[in-house]
Amino acid sequence: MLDIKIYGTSTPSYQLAKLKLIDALEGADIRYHLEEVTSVTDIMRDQVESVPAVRVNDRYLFQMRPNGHYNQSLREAIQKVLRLGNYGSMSKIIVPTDFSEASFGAYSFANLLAKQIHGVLWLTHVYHPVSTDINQLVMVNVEAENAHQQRLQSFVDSLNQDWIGNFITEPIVEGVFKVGFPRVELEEMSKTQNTVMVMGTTGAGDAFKKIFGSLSLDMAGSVSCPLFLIPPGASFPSMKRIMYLSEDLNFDSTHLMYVAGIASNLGLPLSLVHFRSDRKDDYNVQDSIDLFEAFYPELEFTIDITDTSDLFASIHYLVGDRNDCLVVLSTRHRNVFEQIFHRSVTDYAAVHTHCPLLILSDKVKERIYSGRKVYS
Amino acid sequence: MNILHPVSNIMTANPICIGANETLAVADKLFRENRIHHLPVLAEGKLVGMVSKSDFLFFRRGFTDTDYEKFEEDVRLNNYTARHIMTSKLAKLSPDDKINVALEVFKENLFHAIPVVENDRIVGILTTFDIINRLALDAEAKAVYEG
Repeated sequence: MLDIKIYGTSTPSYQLAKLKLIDALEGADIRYHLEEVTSVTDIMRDQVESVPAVRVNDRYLFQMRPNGHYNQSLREAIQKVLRLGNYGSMSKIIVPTDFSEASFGAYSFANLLAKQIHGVLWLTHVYHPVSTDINQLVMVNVEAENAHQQRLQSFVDSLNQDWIGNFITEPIVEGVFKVGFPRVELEEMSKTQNTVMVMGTTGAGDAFKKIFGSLSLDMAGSVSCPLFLIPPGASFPSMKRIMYLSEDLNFDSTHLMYVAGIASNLGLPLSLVHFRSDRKDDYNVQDSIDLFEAFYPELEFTIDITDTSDLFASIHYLVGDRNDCLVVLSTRHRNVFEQIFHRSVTDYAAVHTHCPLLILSDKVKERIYSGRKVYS
Repeated sequence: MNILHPVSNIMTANPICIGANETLAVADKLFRENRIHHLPVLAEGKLVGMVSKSDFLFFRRGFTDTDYEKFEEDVRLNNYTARHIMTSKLAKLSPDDKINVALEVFKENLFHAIPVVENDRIVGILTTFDIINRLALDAEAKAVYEG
């Protein structure tokens, strides 16, 4: 529970600050108690130098500045208040960045996703320390570490802005700087409640050999949250439908609900494609239809069953030349043999498609089953 | 109209201007009260930019229905200055430039007003309306019926 005092006389800038603050707190489901302090005597007694201003828990004071700085200072104040409330129920969208083109593409995608799902962006840079061996002593290059941290901060500052005259219409961006192994740190971050991750891939060709590309593919099987992989050229506005490719829709029913939730949230039609590679496949279409009609009656969806003996060829046929859909894959493994095979299917799709991919691992399912809210 | 005459013949002399640090609430008042579409922006007496009515209306984001939008509009107009939305890279004319030079500039660009300056000080403004107005008054312009 945040105890908030808002200071100011009833000017439009005060009223706007109050409305924006309430909107932000309620949008994030953060519990709060708001007290309005409008008497000049009380404002002076509390040592507030300029109004509007916000004080949280009788401790943190955030003051808004006039003359062209109002917008930015209001944004900063609201960001700090939300941070104190740990962003409540807002989706935390982790965007790993190495400042490459691929990560900028992922950021653009994440920015629009954040607007749609009311999320906060965690722009994350994991710095892997470079050590130098001097006179048998291992020296860590602190200057390089600081330079990376400053670069991230200035990038975050440049993103935490609104178009002139707009008031907090752009998603809030938090900079997260970590030192360590990218994969380990990102895996750990993905365990945070209510997160999704958006990563860029370097695309076709020798992507496996490129560090960032291989990292993004490694992450596909190990993250504990939904993972969006964004190849070069894929964009959020070009997505016209969501295509969920699955080999075992019975098993993936939890994922299915999650994907239906996304489709419903983004207002996109959902195409389910069930790959039937097993003669004993007992997938029942009616089960999925019943599920959607019960939980998402407004959802526009189609279900296709494709008999295939070659998943690579089938995926390529469906999405190889397309760039207008979000392709959803799960890292479902039936047995040890298929574990190897399935991993390569996910990797293949990540490298050979122009569409954004959403990878749902079994860990995501465990978290959904355990009743934690991953996506809202 | 002789297009080889200087622009000073047809420009609007001593146009209404706004200070670079004046709020946009002042710009709003000037646009409404004077029924003009362009405001040259001055800093220390020198021309530093221009605010067109279309720039201004774009900045205002259209209509305000709710209290929320009215507060936003009020804060917008009182917290931003002409400097924030002005166009600073301007085409300029000198009073002695010929009208055909102005015609070429208008033909090649999307804007509708060119400030006329002398030693960095604004002495007038020439708009497409000035030219149309002059053509309409031109005794030489005739309607010729054919066929």
